[in-house]
Amino acid sequence: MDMSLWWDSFLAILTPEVLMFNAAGVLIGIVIGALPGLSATMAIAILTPITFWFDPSCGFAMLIGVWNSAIFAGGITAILINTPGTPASIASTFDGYQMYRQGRGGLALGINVIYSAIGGIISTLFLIFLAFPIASFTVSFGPTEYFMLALFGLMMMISVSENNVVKGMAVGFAGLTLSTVGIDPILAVKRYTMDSTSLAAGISFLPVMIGMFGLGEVLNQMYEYKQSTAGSALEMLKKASAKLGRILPTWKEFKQFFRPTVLAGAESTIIGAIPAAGADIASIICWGQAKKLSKNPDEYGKGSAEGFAVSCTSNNGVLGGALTTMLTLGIPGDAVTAILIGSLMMYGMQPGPKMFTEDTGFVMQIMQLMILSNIAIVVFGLLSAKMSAKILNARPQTVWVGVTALCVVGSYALNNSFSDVLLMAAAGVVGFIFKRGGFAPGPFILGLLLGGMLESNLRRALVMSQGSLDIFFERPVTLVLMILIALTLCFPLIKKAVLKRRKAA
Amino acid sequence: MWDKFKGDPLMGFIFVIFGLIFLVPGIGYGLSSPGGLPGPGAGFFPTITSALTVFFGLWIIYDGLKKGSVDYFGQDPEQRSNFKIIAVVCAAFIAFLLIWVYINFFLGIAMLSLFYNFIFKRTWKFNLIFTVVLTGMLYVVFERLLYIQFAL
Amino acid sequence: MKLNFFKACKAAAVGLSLAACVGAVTNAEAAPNFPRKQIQIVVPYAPGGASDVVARIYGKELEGVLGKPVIIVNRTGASGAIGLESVKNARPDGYTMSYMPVESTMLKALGIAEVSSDDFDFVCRIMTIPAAITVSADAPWNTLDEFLTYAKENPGKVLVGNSGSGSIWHVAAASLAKAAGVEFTHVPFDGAAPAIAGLLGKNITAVAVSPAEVKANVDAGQFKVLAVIGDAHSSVVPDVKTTRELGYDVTAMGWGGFAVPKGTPEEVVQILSDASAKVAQSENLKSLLKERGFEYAPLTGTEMDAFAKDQLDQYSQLIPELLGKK
Repeated sequence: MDMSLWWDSFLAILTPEVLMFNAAGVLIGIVIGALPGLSATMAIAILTPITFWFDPSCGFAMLIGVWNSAIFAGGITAILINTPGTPASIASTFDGYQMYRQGRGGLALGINVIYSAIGGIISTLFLIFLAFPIASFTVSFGPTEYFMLALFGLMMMISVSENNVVKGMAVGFAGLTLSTVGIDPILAVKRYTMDSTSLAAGISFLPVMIGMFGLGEVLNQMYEYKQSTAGSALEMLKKASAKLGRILPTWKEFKQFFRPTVLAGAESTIIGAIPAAGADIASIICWGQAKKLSKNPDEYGKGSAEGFAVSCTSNNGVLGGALTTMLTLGIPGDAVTAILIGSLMMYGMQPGPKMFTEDTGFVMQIMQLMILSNIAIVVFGLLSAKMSAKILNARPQTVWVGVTALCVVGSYALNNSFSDVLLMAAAGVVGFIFKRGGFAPGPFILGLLLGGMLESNLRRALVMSQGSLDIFFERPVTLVLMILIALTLCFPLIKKAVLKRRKAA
Repeated sequence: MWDKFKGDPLMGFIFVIFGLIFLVPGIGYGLSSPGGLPGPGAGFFPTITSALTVFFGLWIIYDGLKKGSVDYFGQDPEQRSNFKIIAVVCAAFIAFLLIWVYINFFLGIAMLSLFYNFIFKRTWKFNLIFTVVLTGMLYVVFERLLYIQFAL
Repeated sequence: MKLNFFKACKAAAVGLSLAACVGAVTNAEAAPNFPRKQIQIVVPYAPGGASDVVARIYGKELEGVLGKPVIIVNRTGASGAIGLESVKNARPDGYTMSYMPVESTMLKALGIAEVSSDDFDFVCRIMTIPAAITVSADAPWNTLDEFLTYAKENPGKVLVGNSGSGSIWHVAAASLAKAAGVEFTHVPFDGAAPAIAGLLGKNITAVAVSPAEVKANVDAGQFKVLAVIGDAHSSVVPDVKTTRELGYDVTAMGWGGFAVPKGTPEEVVQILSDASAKVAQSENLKSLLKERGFEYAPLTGTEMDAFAKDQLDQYSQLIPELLGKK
C-alpha cells in the first residue's frame, strides 16, 4: 500500500465540494432510509445520472454517503414505529422497538447512530487490509454453501419465536410455503398463480413486512388504547424521554457491547462479500449468533441494548463486504453495487483486479469516502436523534394516521404496484391477529424472505450434481457450515448438560 | 362447549386449512423433475413446507384444547369497544382504496386523513393542518422528486 | 342584371375559396396534438440494470426531441411480464410506452404470461446483445470446437450457467447444444451476476451471458470468450467469431426496443417512431451503448414490427422443443 498515494488521494477528498456532496448524500440517505418502502437502491438509481455532471470523487462521495446512511436510517423507523425502513433493519425491530416502548427510545436512537458507523468502519478496514483474501474465499461459494447460509438464517426462526416455539414453527413454515408462490426458479413452472400475473411475480416480501410490522402494530395499538389510562401512559413516556440526556451508551455499556459488535461487524463483512447475500440475512444471522454467545441471551428480543447494537453494526457492516467483492472481482453483490459498477464504467474505470493497479488512487478514495460517510453519519445522526426524539412525544393517534399513510405509499412506491398495497393491507390484518394470539411475526418474515434462497440453491446444487446428495458432503465450506448449524441446534442441550454436571459436582 | 374452540384451536385450524390449500396442488406439481432431469420437482419444496404447516397447525389445535388458549382479545370492555373503531377504520381504508382507483390518490389520502382524525376526536384545526401538510409532503416528495406516479 | 349575377359569382368564388382555406387550416389543426403532457416509459426490470440505464438515456433524449417530460417507471417481476402487461392494458393513447426486451417474444411460449410482442406496436429498436460462450481462462479448450468435442464426449458433465430458466441466455445455450448435437447441463441462477460468480468460483464450467457482463473478468485475464452467438461480432470482444462463422446455425440474442400498446392511433405511432429515429442518432445514446458494451443496432418502428414478428415465430417454435430437453 503506497503511503504517499494514500495521502494524496485523501487530500483530494478533503475539498469543500467533495465534503458537501458527501453531506448531501448522507442527509438524503437519512430521509430515504427512514421511509419504509423507499430503498437505497431507488435513491441511488435516481441520483446516479445527476452525478455524471460532476467529478467522479464528488459523484461517488454522494452515492456512498446515501448508501451508508440509508441503511443506518432504516433503524430509526424500526425503533419508532416497529417498521424497518429497509429490509436490512429487520433485526433492529426485535430489540429497538421494545426499547422505545420501555422509554429508552433516545438510547436506541443513539446506539443506532454510533454502532451503524462502527459497523461501516469495521467493514471498511476489512476492505482496506483484506480485500483479496476475502473476495477469493467468498467467490468460491456455490449453491451448497448458499443453502447452508439460508438454513443458518432460518434456524434463527427458533430464537425469534418469542414464547411459543410451536406457534413460531407453524408461522415459519407458513411463510416458507408462501415463498413458493410464483415461478419455480429452476423449471420456470407457475406455482399457485391462478392465472394472475401479479401472483406470478410472487409474494413480494417488503410489502408484507411493512404491513405486518407497521400497520399490524398500528391496529394493535388501536385495539389496546384505553382512554382512561391513556393520560398516565403518555405522562410516563414523556417523563422517560425527557430524561433524554442519555442518548449515548455509558462507558460500562460500551465495554459490554465491544466484543459482540466487533464480532458481528466481522461476520457481516464476510456475509456481505458473498455475492447476492445481503444485509437482511447478515443482520439476522449476526443477531442470532450474538444471542447465543451473549451473557444475557434472555434479554434479546425484549429490549436488549446489546442485541440492538449488534443489529445496527451488522447491517452497516455488510457494505464494506459488498464493496470488497465489487472492487476486487467486478461482481455486483446486490442492486446498489450493480449501479455503482455502471457508474464506474461511465467514468472509464473497470471494476475488477485491474482497477487496483490502474486506478489505485480512486480505489483508495472510495475506501476513504466510506470512512468519511460513517463519520458524517455520527455527526448528522446525533443531531437528528435529538429531533427524532421529539417524535416520541407525539400522541399515538397522530402516529397512527401518519404510519398508515406511510405504509400505503411505501408499499406502492416499491414497484409502482397497487397489488402490493393490497398485500400490505392484508398482511397488516394478519399481523394484528398474530399479535393478539401470541404468534411471533419474525419467523413468518424469515420464511418468506429466505424460502426462495433455500429452495433454489438446494435444487441448483442437485442439478449440478445430477441429483446426488454427495455434493453436500464433498465441499469443505459446506461441511463447516453444516457442523456450525448442528452445534447451534445442540448448544442449548449441551448447556443444560454442562449445568447439570456442575450442579451435581 | 364451543368456547373451547375459540382462540388457539381456531387459529390452528386456519393453519391446517392454509397448509392443505397449498399441499394438494403442491403434490400435483410433481415431486421429481419431468423428463428425467436431475433434482426434485416443482412440487417438492411446497409439499414439505405445507405438510409441516399442517402438522404444526394440528399441534396448536391440540395444545389449545388441552392447555387452554391465549386470550386473544381480552376481557376489558373498554378495549372490546375499540373493535367498533377498528371496523370503521377498515371500512374507511377500503373507501380510500376505491377513491384512489377511480378518482385520484391525493384526494383519497386527504379524505383518509380527515376521516381518521375525525374518528380519533382531534380538533378540526389540527385535522386540517395535518391533512394539508401530509398531502403536501407526499405530493412533493413522491410525485415531484421521485417521479412515482400514483395514477393507476 | 348581368352585373349582379357576375358579382354574385365572384362573391361565391371568393366565398368558396375562403371556405376551402379555412377548411384546410382546420384540417391541419385536427392532426393529433401529441404529446400534450408527460410520457411514461415502463421498464420491466430493476433500476440500475442494463434495460433501465438505456431506457433512462433514451427517455432523456426523447424529452429533448418532443419537448414534453418523459419519466421512467420500473415495474419488475415475472421475467418482465408484470411491466409488459401493465403497458398492454394501459390506454393506447401514446402516453404509456414500454421498454421491450427479447423476453417479450418468449413469455407466451414459456407459459409465464399471456402477453407477447403481438400486443404492441413498436416504435424502434435500439440495441442487440449477443450471448458469449465464456469459460475460465485456464480451461483446456481454446476454441469452440474443442469445447464442443469435450461436451460430446462427456454428455451432461458440462455445466453451463445462465441468468434464469427460460431466459434468453438459457435459450441461446440450449440452441447451441441442439445445433451441435451435444448435451449440456443448464444451471439456472437468479440473474447474470450470480452465474458469473459461479464461473469465477469454478462451480460451473461455462456461462452464456452478454459479453459486456464478462468484460471485466476477460480483461483481468480470468475468463476467455470462445464464441459469440449473434448476427455480428461483439464490439466488446471484436476478435471472437460468431457461431454462424464457426459453422453452427444459431442466432439467439437479446435486444432492446420501445413500443406502445396495440390500438394506439397511427399518427401517434408515427410521431413516436420519427422521434425515436432522431433519438437513435444521438451521441449520448451511442456513447452509453459503447461504454456498456451493447451493440448499437437501430431499427425503425416498422422494421422492428417485422423483426419482432419473426422472433416471436422463431421462439414459439423453438421453446416448446427446448422445454422438452431443458
